[in-house]
Amino acid sequence: MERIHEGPLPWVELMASFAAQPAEGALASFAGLVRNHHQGRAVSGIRYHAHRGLAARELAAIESAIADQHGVRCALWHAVGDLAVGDCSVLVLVGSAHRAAAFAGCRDAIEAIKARLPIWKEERFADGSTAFVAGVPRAGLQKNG
Amino acid sequence: MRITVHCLGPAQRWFGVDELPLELPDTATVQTAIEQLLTLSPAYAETEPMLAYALDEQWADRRTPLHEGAVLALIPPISAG
Repeated sequence: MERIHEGPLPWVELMASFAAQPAEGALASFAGLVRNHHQGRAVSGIRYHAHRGLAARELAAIESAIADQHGVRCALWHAVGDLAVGDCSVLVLVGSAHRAAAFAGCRDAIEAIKARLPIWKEERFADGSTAFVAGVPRAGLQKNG
Repeated sequence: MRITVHCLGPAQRWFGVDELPLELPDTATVQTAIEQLLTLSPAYAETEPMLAYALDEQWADRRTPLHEGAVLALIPPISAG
């Protein structure tokens, strides 16, 4: 499946397809889900916007970096388009011989995704209004570069 | 030269469109485009120091030269996850 996926991520199927290898004793995962509230307001869903080409390349680069740094297998996906409460928006899977590297790789991968991926959340509220979530400047941004 | 500005995420609201054509001098860089865009949207001007840019699917900096037909993507502060 493409790393940037239209609609909710089929996270159960993706985890099954990432089936543990004989040499791996640990599989760590992180699944990001759409929650029903944000800063005190009731949220009914999120539309994810993306620069798809760059986002896919960033995910591939993060996968490679995590694999190299931690000596693990890593697979990453992010959803775009309209998601409802409870849908899976981002999935990190890391397989390793031992749990320490799996947990560390999983944590570093989701932090890199949140710092680097050109993706934007537009929340839909219960009253029908929408608003983009206040983001963070992309990591590595050179203001005068 | 004529380029296309791709307004992503909240940038769609700043300019009211997904894509915006710009007419620029032949020697234009990303910075030249930024200076023209600053005159079009106060919301963009307010947030601009926090933006990144991509030119034809590659990350670009402000000194990157533009070319006829280029696609310049505005990358506002991100909210992945």
